[in-house]
Amino acid sequence: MIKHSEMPYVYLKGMSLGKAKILPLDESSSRPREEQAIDQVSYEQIIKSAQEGDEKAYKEIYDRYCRVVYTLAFQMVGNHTDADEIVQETFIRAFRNLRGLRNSRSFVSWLYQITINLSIDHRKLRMRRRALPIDDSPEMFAFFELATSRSVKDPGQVLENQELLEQINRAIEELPAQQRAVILLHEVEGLSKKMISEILQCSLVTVRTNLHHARKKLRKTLSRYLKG
Amino acid sequence: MYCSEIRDHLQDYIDNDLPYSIKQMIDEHLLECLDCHEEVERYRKLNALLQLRSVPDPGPKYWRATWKKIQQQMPARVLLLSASIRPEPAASRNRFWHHMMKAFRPAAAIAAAAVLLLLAVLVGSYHFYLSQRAGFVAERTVEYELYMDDQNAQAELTSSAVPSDWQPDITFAAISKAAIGGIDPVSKGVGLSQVEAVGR
Ligand SMILES: [Zn+2]
Repeated sequence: MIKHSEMPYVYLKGMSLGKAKILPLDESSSRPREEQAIDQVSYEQIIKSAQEGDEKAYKEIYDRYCRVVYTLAFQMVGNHTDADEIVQETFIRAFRNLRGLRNSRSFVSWLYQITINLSIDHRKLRMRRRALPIDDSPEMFAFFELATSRSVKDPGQVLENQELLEQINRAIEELPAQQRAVILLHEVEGLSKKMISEILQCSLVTVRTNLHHARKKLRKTLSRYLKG
Repeated sequence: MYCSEIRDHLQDYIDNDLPYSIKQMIDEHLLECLDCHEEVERYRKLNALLQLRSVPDPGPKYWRATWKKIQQQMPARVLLLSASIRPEPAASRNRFWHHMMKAFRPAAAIAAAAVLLLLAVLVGSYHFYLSQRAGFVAERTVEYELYMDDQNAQAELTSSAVPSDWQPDITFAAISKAAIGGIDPVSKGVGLSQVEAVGR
């Protein structure tokens, strides 16, 4: 069993809820089922304790979800500085409003919701402030690294991969906020459409439409990498 | 089925969202039509490309530091809410004086006891008043701080955080509301069957 802390990178697939629709807390689908069941019980207990003001429970929630929130924020905004701000703000808002959350089971989708929402606001704000697209900033892609580049020895290949990754990031950046959110949650985070519709508070039809539009656009922008 | 019809279903096909009958038709078509087959491959490749994105873990130091920052920004008032401030129950005080009375049984002590009792009542009720007041003040403080929190959140949202001329798009307005107001977000949504119906 690989612990998140031991992972050199926050890989989205392993981190998030995955395709599994059963458990809201399925951050590691590779773990034994009994362990997940235990998690499920304590998960709801933790949320309840936090709702009652238990400080330890707040810390526990943070420890469990900080990486998920960070990764999602990073995916949405594309840089560490903004993602960092969003992580802090997400947890502060979540903790402040935790008592209003009636169903502790929906906590995770609620947390995703806050993160996505803040990411969208944050980006809009940045773009206004700078009056130029955020992807022009030099630090934009500094933190992204091609997962395969470590195993590739040839420097030319690494460079090529780097370029490819920049193209992917740019293409995602160009998508409208909602389409970007949907495609990241679906393709990268591996969430079900149902879960996404809960997070984004829209219908399944809207999720599907946004996903299809996003794919079509990306297919066009990245066409030269998609040839047979 | 024509290629154009097939293309309309391809995304649902790769997502496994199609009823079996349609899926089967597409399977058969893909065996014969190279163009459509390549189209499916392009979508699959796109999916693989998106998976290449990875996010670096900022490391344990970062997570610790961030938790500290959150704690600092987290008002103690949220935690304060749970710490109930109740006045000491009056009954226990009465029991105390009852025992005292028992100790002073001789008749000669009755007068002294009466004086003591008077004193006790005075002191006791004063203490009771003080503790009640403290509870009341604490409650008011929590209420006020929560109120200010709400105000700050509202101000953050309407002024500094979001430009005044910015209008959220309709769907995401709902999310903003949930994030700020702490509303239980889970909506019923529509059944998958409806999506399939649209797909068809
Ligand atoms: Zn065809």
